[in-house]
Amino acid sequence: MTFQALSRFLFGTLRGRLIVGVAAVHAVMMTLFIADLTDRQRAMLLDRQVEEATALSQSLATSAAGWIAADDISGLQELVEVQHRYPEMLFAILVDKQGRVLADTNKSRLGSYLLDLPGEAHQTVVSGTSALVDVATPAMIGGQHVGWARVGIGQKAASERLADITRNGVVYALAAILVGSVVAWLMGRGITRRLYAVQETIDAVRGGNRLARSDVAGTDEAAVMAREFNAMLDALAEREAELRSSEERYRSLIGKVQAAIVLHDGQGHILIGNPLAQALLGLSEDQLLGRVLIDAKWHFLREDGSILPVAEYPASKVLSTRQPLRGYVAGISRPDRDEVVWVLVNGEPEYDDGGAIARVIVSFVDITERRRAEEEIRELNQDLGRRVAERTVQLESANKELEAFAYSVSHDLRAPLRHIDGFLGLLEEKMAPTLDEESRHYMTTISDAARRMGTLIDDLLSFSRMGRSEMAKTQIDLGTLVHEVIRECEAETQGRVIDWRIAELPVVTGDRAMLRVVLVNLISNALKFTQPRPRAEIEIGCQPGREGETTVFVRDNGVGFDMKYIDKLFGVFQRLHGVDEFKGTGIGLANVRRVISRHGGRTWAEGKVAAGATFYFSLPPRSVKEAS
Amino acid sequence: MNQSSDAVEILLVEDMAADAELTMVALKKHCLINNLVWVKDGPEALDFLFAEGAYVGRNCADQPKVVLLDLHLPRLSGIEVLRRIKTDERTRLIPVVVLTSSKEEVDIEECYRLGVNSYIAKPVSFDEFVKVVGELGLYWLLLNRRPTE
Repeated sequence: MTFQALSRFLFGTLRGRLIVGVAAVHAVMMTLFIADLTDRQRAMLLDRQVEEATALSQSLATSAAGWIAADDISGLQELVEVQHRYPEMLFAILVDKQGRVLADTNKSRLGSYLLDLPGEAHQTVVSGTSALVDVATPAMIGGQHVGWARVGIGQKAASERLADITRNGVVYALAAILVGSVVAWLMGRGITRRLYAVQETIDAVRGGNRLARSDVAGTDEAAVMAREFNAMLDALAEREAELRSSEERYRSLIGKVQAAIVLHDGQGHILIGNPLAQALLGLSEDQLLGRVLIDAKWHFLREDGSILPVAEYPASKVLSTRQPLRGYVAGISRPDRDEVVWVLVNGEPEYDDGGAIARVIVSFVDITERRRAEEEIRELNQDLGRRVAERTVQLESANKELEAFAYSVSHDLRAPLRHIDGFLGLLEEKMAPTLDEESRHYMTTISDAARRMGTLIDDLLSFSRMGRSEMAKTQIDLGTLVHEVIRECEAETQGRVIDWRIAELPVVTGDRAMLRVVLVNLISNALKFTQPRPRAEIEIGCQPGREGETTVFVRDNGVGFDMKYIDKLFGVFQRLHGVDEFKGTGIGLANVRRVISRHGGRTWAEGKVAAGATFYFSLPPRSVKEAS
Repeated sequence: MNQSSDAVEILLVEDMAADAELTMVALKKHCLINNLVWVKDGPEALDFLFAEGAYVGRNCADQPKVVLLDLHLPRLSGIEVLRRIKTDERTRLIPVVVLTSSKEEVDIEECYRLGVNSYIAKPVSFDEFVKVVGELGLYWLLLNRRPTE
């Protein structure tokens, strides 16, 4: 517990770790330094000790050699005693060649034998520790080995010096560790204070102050971190603002758009149903989101009125088919309304990065009114169709009546005329011998009148036929038709001088029989009204009309007409000349106008009394082909 | 003027007495009036041709050389009479000339479809009427050759 607390105190923070680390490095380095220093000192002291011992031993051996040879024990003892002036001297011993102690600073060993002498007569360091340096030097006289000088030097002073050095080293090391730790603490505090400043900012931001920013300045890592952190906060704030604004836009769009929108997730659960969707579907937001049960009487309907199963709901359809749903019409049977609400439904899938459907947006448009209007239009159309059919039936029956009338005219009216003329003929035959001139004239007049009426009836019928008969349109070469008509007229024109000027005429589309009637009427008119001329000039030509029409004209140098009667020219039974002057009932030009107008063309004329006339008819562009 | 003869040459089907009279006058002018039977409507015409009704007992093999048929008839129309004549084996070969006031294209077409031998529109003018009737009488009675019975 205590260890843990200590450990946490020391290593729990960067500051602690830094201080402990720097202090430990100092301690290790100082310890190594001091150990090395004392080691070197000790080695140096030992070397000096050995040198001293060797030198002493050498000088003693040199000095004692003669004495040993002389076996002067007392001289030797004096010589040994003298060596005591060296403070560190532990002992000085002189022995003979056999190892018997001749003189010794410790007199108790006199006469005893040293057993640890070297085997050969060479100077030898018998012991070389810092506690005792023991050197044996052979004493030689004239190259003859006579004995040994042994000197042992201690190390008391040197050891004391060494201990001093070591003590001082430890003191310095501790001071260095202390100073280092203080410096480390100061540095650590300096560094970590800046880090703590950054951390305070982080705490503030976490606490809700999104505007808090670190004010750590400088160029060091803490400042860089603070700046990066500030930048990160700025970016986050910007992103957040964007997100908030996007969220607001989206909320405003969903909430205010005049369309009913329901957003589903990839499983079909409703995420959002905007207010219009709630209103249109007749479901609260809670019902839409599945928090509250929907009334069992609430249904989607198919167009035929049957109930749509849930699996076929628009969102389900989009999810199952993975295709957009467009223009789907469904009804909504709402428990709060008697009438079905009809909606046009569109469903759009949205895919995630993996291609799975992430969302389905379903929009609804209320088409109840439109459907009602369409229904009304349909009913109106049906009604209209029925009325048209009724009118058509009426019209057909009127047409039938007209045909029946025309038929009876052709038969019933003609029969009496025939009878009048027939029996007048019989009467004339029977009475012939007794009839005077006047009576005969009366009878002729009656007969002429009857025949004329017959012609009128025929013309009236032909005019009626021009209006009601079916048109059989084919390609017609007008030039060929004109020549054909002229050939037919040759019987009437025998003996007359006629100058025909016929230009090239186009091929047109139309009813051959009807256009033939047109040409017969125009050409026979031209022939009829040029009768008084010694030389008749009849020109038939073609000229381009307005808007691509083709205009055909028949011009003559006949008696012409007064333009003030132009209105009457194309009327039924309208005549500008007396019957006695020129034959005819006045139906021809009426037929011409009727046929041309049924072909979609126009008719008109120009003329001058006694100066000829020109009759024109035009055919619309589509009925005219290029003359080849 | 109903004449029953063993050798009937003309069967005139005409409801109007005036027309019938004019026709007969015209034929008479060409001496073709002998052996003419005039019936006034469709059923009577068929009765005559098939020896039924009032004509039971008539020799059916003895058929007219030509039938002059008006189209505008009471009870049964001339078109219907023509159809019956031309669809019955016994009468199919009898030449039928429609002599009528109608110049309607539909009538002419229908008659030809049913197999009429000739279609004549009665002219209003008496002179022309006499000429036309005389010519057709001469043609069908004298010039035309029928399959031998």
